[in-house]
Amino acid sequence: MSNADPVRAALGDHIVREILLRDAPLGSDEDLFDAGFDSMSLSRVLVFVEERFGVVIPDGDVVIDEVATLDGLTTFVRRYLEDG
Amino acid sequence: MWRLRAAELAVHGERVALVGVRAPITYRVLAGRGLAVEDALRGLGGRPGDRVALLSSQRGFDEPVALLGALSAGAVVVPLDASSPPERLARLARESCACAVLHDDAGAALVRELAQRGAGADGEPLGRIELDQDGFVLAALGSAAQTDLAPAPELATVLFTSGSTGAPKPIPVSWSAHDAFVSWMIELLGISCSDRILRCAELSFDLAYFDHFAAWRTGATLCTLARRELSAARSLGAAIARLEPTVAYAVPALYTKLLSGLAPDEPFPASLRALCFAGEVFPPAALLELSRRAPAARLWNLYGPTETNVCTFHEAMPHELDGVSELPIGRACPYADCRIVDDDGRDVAGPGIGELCVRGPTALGGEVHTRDRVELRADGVFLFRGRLDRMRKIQGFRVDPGEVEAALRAAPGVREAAVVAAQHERLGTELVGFAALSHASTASQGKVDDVALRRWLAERLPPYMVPRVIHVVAELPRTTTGKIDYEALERA
Repeated sequence: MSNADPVRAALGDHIVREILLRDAPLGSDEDLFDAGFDSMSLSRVLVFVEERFGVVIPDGDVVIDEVATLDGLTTFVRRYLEDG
Repeated sequence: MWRLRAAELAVHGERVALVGVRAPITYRVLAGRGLAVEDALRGLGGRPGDRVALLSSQRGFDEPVALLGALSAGAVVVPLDASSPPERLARLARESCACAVLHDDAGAALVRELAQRGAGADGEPLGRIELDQDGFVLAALGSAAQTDLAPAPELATVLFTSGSTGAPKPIPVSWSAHDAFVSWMIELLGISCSDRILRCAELSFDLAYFDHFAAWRTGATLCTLARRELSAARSLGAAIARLEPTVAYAVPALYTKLLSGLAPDEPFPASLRALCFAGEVFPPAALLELSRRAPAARLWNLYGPTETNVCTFHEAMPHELDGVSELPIGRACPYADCRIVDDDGRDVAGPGIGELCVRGPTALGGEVHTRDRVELRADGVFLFRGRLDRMRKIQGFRVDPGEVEAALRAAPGVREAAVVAAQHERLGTELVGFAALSHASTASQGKVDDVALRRWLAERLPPYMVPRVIHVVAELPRTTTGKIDYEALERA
């Protein structure tokens, strides 16, 4: 997946800066939960998506394995953006 | 037991009683002006034990003179803080069943507005005594409203605190409570007639009664600050330099305001030999700064809710001021019986943590449960560990926002911090932080912002204790008594 993808860039930036509170960018297949994600972090990402892109993704729709990497999360979020 | 009598102040004769923006007056003159207020109140039909509201808009000599006259007449004083909204003041006057209001000339318009909002019980108009800024009675109008309230001659004052329901909660304070605290403070600080006591806190705050009573019992001079002098750091500094007080008892915010008005190498006013503070935790970095700027002054941390007045005390020693650790609240005052109880209401014997409960002459009715979480160390020293009422469940964990505040205050570049719980539609209960940065240059500390502060916390606290956002603000909002205004922060 391209680094120029705006959805991926926005998600990656938010996760690194706001949730993981670190400088190093995420590797495309780095496991978010290994990097420090918990269930609250995921909820916060969904809140961010709602505020930034205006689509509501219910917490219940999330399948953990699908969203465990930045690439997986971006694909997951894109589905809602394209439907909306 | 001591009670205030205007006539008795004349024993201090030609000693200076009041200094401020007006020409100084002696104890002989103060006693005379107090007696004039006492006579005026009796003339309106006020009886001993009646509640009398007191409002000073500019805080001239009218305030101590009205306080002296009303208390000397045996009235129970209900202070109205002129900076509060009229609606609240009218409510306090009504609910306390005040029969009359004493006020300064500058406060006349505000008092008229209170009357329109029904300040008297059952809509009856209040009697009114107006004083000028020198404390002369200008007018005594109407008559003391009749109330059904039984006179309470054992009481001196009724103070209002913000109750947990949001409605103001009246705290009656007896003469024996004032006596126990003030007698002890006079001894602790060694106050004599050569002292000059700074008049800082609003009269609606218990700190203000130390100022008046300690001065008047010892013949010391009361150094009054006009309301406008209190409003800005530089005018406050200039007034203190002019008045040369030796003793001050104020909230930490007053000292930090004074510090913020000083040039980088400017010392704290050198006349001050004893600096006492209470009301909230003194931010450790600012306290270290204060002790550096005022090396000769002794620093006293006094602790206690309004319901008990001061019940523990601690003198800050230079070696314990590291700019990061909070001061202990110290040992029990000799008149206060302090114990801690666990969640099940059982006594915690020896070292441990629990709710602090207080008995004694300053404690209102039997035993006061402070709702403060306090740790008792093996050496008998108490440490403040936060408000029980502020405990919140965050993601299922019990979190005390005070603990997060303490960590945030210790972050480089942070002067003051507050943390509140907020409800997020999706995330549930979450923490929101507020940080006011140091006035000094932060160039050496790098950029201090939301992310940097949350990183600092994330390195020290579990994730659920790290606020989702930390707002960097110029100043934290304050209540009229100078404490952090948590209600305003929760609305923000």
